Amino acid sequence: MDLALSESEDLIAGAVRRFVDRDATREALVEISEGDSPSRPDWHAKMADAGWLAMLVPEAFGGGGATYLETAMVAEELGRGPVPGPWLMSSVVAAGMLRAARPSDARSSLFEGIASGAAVVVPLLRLRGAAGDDVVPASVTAEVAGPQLVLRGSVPFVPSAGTATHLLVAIGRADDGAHRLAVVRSDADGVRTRRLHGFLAWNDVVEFDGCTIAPADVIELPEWHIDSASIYPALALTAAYQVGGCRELLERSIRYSNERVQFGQPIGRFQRVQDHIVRLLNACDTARWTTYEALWRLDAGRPAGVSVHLAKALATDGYYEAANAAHEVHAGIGSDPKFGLSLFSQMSRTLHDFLGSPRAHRRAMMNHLEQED
Amino acid sequence: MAAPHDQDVDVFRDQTRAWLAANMPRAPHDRYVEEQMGGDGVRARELQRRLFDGGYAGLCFPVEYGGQGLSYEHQLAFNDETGPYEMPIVFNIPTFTIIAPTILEFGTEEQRQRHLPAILRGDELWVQFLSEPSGGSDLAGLVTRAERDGETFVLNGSKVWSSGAHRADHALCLARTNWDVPKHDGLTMFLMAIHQPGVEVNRIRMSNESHEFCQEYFSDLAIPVRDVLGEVDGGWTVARELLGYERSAMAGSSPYQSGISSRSSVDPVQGLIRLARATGRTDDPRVREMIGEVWANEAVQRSLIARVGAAVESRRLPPDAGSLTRLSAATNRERIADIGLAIAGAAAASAGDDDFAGEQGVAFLMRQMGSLGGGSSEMQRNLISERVYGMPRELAADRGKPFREVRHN
Repeated sequence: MDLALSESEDLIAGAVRRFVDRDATREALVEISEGDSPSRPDWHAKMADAGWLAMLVPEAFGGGGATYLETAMVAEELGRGPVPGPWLMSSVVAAGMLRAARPSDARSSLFEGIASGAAVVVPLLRLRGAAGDDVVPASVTAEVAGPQLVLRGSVPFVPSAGTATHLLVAIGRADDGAHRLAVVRSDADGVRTRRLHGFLAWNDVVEFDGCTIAPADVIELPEWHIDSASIYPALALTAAYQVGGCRELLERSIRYSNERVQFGQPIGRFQRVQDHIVRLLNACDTARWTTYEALWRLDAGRPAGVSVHLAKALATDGYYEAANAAHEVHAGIGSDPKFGLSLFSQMSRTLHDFLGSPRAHRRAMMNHLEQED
Repeated sequence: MAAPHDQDVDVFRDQTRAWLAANMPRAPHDRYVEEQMGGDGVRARELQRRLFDGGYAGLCFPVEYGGQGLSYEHQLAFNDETGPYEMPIVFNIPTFTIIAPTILEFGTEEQRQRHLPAILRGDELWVQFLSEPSGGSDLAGLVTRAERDGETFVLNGSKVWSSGAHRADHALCLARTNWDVPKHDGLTMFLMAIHQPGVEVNRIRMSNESHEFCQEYFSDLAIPVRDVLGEVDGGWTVARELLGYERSAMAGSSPYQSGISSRSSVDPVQGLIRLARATGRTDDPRVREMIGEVWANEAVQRSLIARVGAAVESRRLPPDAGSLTRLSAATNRERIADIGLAIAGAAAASAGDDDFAGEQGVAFLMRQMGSLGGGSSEMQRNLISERVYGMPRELAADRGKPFREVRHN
């Protein structure tokens, strides 16, 4: 297999990189981290114009029909910021769920909304098992009241819920076992989104207190869990976003160790600092090449279970390791939030158990290996 | 002034217990220490004044400077008894454990009389102005300049990572007074008041929302020559002793530490067990293994502190051996953060203020702090290999060169 990038992939990566360099600068990202929202309307508009929101939306609904590797270029370059916000939740996870869902008007209209930028769709998910062994749609109760359904319940740890125009929340199963996902407008009566405190980035709790939806606002999703093929693209693309973080941390650390002078010489000349650079390089390469292989398998329609779980586990561990090593290289200045390095440490921890813990992915990977024997 | 204390430690302990119960407030809640650290110091000053009036300030400091002239055993007994009470913890580091012993060792009689009783009364909080934006590991390569003009020095430059400068009154500040000699030989330590024209203090917001660290800017700040601590150009001698006091303070073995908070004595193993219970993972064999690993690390750390402490006291190891405990504390802390994250999983991702798992999350983000404060782990490894075990020193580009000719940021 050839893991080199094609011209079109390079073009996409270059365009996103220019956006990050000009708009989502270090200063802008630090400012966002101190504010109330992980997203900016002008950024969202630019991303919509560029087609980055629509990559996974089928062409029939105004989408880009992009390959996974092309989409990964967007993920990786945004991860270099790291640019927070709903792209991963809406354009990757929600779009992936909708692709696996049964056709319906509600589904079509969400696809169109994501593609045009008019809708930001955030699915509510839940880790199952204390060790993050599985990830499933989070559910609330739905009572029939005349022609409508009344939703009640609360779901914590929803990334970027505050930016959503639409929420997808499970309300039980259909007769054949498919998840029934309610499409709820986030500004509807009886829906409240509240930021969770704590240090990790942009997690919210969403509360449904008597909000009503029509039966037509329910989408059926046959299968969606940590090892369903329908989640694989989201796993590999999250890994790509993590790879972007690793690469940026490596480059910044190399630059800093060449510029920073102590004891009359650049600190990069000290072997103890070089050791940290090598840690970064190993973490970065491990994450990057396993992720590219997973994406290539998905695009080629080959069996991808082993490779997707491997990529997600290694990209998660790699991002954590890279952030820690980068802090060792930068020392004191790295812990000043204005410097921007802690945005990566925060993101590496925020994504640590996103869509399942590294341990759960290793276990899923082993299950596949056993089956293939 | 209270009656003199009993020399018998057991009797002293009983007296202390009764006095604390009658005179000090119970600790209001677990987080009062964080509040003190983030606060303006007013409450801590009141509490220290109560201790002083009761004769419980500066147990190991000489009587002539307002102390009690008692033994380290008395101090330890006192500390044991203070856990349940609200104590002026912010005075411990650096005022009591680092600054005061340095002034005691290097100060003139006038300087000691001016500051030590005031410190013990709770009137003066201090900070150290050492690290600079251009240098932390290479402390002796600092570039804040103090130029002599008759009977004053004029100070210009910037310091950073000073803890609690916003609430402090005075600082020990290390500055360069001679650029024509090698870096260690051209430094001078100054006593300075913080809140005066020519000093600007900015607070730094940390990733864990702490505002404890500050950065200071000096512009043409005049310091009288009488406020030099030690010799002019002899600041490195003072700084080295000060760093020794700092290491001992960080390792929790300073005889000048007054009181502990119940909070600071929380055992990390108990913390992780609480975390495993809160997240329903006490039966997970992998979680049990990891907590066992931390328990073992902590046991080794305790024995290391005792062994190194005894060896330094009996001079079988040089004082720099304190770097052994400092390094092991940092690596343990990193491992605890990694394991905490593995146990808390998604619960650490985000949580309410009162949620234990969420609180642990902050520790995961601040994982590296243990390997930075008081000199990076890399610097400790250098100290251990070169000063404790006598390995040949690493080549340095600046050795023996006049500082003026040395490359710096």
